[in-house]
Amino acid sequence: MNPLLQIQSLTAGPDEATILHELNLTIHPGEVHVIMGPNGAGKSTLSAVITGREDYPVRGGRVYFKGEDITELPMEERARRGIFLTHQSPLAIPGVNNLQFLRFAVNSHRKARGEDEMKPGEFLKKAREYMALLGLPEEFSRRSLNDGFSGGEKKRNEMLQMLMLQPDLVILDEIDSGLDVDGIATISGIIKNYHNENRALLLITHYQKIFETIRPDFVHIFAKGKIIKTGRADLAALVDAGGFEQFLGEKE
Amino acid sequence: MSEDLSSFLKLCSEVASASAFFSDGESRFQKISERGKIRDKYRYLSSFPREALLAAGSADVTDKIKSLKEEHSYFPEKDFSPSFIRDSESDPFALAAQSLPYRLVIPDSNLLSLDLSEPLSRFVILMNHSSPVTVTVNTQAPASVLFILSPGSSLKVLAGFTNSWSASFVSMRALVGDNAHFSLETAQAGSGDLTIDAMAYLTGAGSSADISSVNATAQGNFSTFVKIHHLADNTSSNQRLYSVAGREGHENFRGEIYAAKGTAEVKAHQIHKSLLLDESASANANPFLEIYTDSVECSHGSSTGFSDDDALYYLRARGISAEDARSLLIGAFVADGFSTFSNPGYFSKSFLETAGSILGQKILISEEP
Repeated sequence: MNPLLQIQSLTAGPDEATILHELNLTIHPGEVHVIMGPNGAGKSTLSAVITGREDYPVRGGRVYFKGEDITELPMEERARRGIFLTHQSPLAIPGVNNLQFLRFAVNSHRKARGEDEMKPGEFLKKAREYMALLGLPEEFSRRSLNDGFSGGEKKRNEMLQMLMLQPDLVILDEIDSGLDVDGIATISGIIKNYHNENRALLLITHYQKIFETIRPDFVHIFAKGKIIKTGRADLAALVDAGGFEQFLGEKE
Repeated sequence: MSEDLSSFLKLCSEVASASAFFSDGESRFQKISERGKIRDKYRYLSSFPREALLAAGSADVTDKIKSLKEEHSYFPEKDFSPSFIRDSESDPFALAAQSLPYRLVIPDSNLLSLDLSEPLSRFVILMNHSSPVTVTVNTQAPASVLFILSPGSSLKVLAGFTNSWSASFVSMRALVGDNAHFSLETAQAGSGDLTIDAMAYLTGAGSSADISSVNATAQGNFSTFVKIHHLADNTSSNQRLYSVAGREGHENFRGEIYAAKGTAEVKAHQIHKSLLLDESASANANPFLEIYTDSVECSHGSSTGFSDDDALYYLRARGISAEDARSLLIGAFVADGFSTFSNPGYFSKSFLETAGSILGQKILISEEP
């Protein structure tokens, strides 16, 4: 099976700093990968580089998505090809209507595929169905993007965007942070239902709670900008028991 | 505040508080003799110190005084005090209307449109209405308007200036009586040089003023000078000014809150935000507070900067092009500026068209689909 995402010897970081050092990672359709690591290891840098953030320049190596070299591709092109990042702390943008922003995004994807814009009625019907599924009240269609949303509402709004945009690779950057137990259960249930044999998940997390619903295929321990150990779900249990210190010094 | 200006404001407050309606004053004025008319006008104008007349945007009134003196040299009086006005035969409202350059009657509809197309237009509008009045101001020429609000009245002024400005200076001032409310909403988009000078004198207890502005400027200087004088107890004000500058557009902002000594329960808030679209644009913000009382609740804030990179990233990470993301963020800024306007639709279409044209930047206002 061809990889969905392939990272080869990636060296990158924000501005002058180099955070990722010759990183390698391959993700196939249908797989669930988990990245765990201490604070400052470079986990969020990895998600920024995959999504193409321009202030995180690549200094070496390549990134392939569905076989295409996307290393130099602008971030919106990557998003249109099916890469989606749920932000750890989704930004509030007062003045940009929540649903109109989403309609813009949906139509940008359709335009890139050579399709007609989604009709407003069709868009609203679909958005409202997903909002009901996520427990987001109707008033969210009138509010500004993430403006005044609680932590849980912001995460559910990210899920709404994911469901509307139907990406192939979903990078979940600490999706469980700021959520209570019920919130984690709701969000993880939605992600589990969304995931299928054609879609892959890359979870960046500190906690195992979410694994009760989403079973990882691979767990990677991340430190000093590279993967130092890869294993199955039971590796996460070792982290819980003995922390990250036990893995430092091991080679990838 | 100088003694002269104090006495002028006190006088204006008395004028604003006069019980007679404008039409009554007019008829009373017409009944007096020709000589009496001239004398009363002279007394009226002489009672204003020059500094105050300048502050009220009525500099040419001093010229009228001079011509009256020359024309009617038999008047020996000099340096009249404000009390003379009360000794006049005619009504203070009528005197103000007759003596100052233009007078206007608010129609029954309570809607008035001012087209200040003549150079150096000057208006004094006396408000003595119990129901809210809306005045719209359009001008392509330098102009000044003085609004005098009687107790309990409510005036909303909508002023929009777009396209290339031939006007260099527009002054709008308000004297606000007891429990009266003055609201000024302005939207400007254009290139060239323009200064908007807006002042409110809260002379009556319980009076209030809101001044809101959204502007876009390119290839020129746009200046806003706002000052609100809190001169009585229980007065409140809000200043909210938003500016977008690009293509060698320069914005100057000076906003002042003045709370006079001895006043109580003063509330005053000021927000200024300036968005720069490129390196060729600039903004110079000078927020000032002059607080001479302890019984005050006051805040002010000013920010100047480029589009938020994190916000651009968030939008682009969802597949929106850099250009559209930028347009949405500028639109969000403008929409936030218009959010407190009572009728943003009055301005937004022409503003967005002109602003988009001069800035060379599409502006997308985001609304519920």
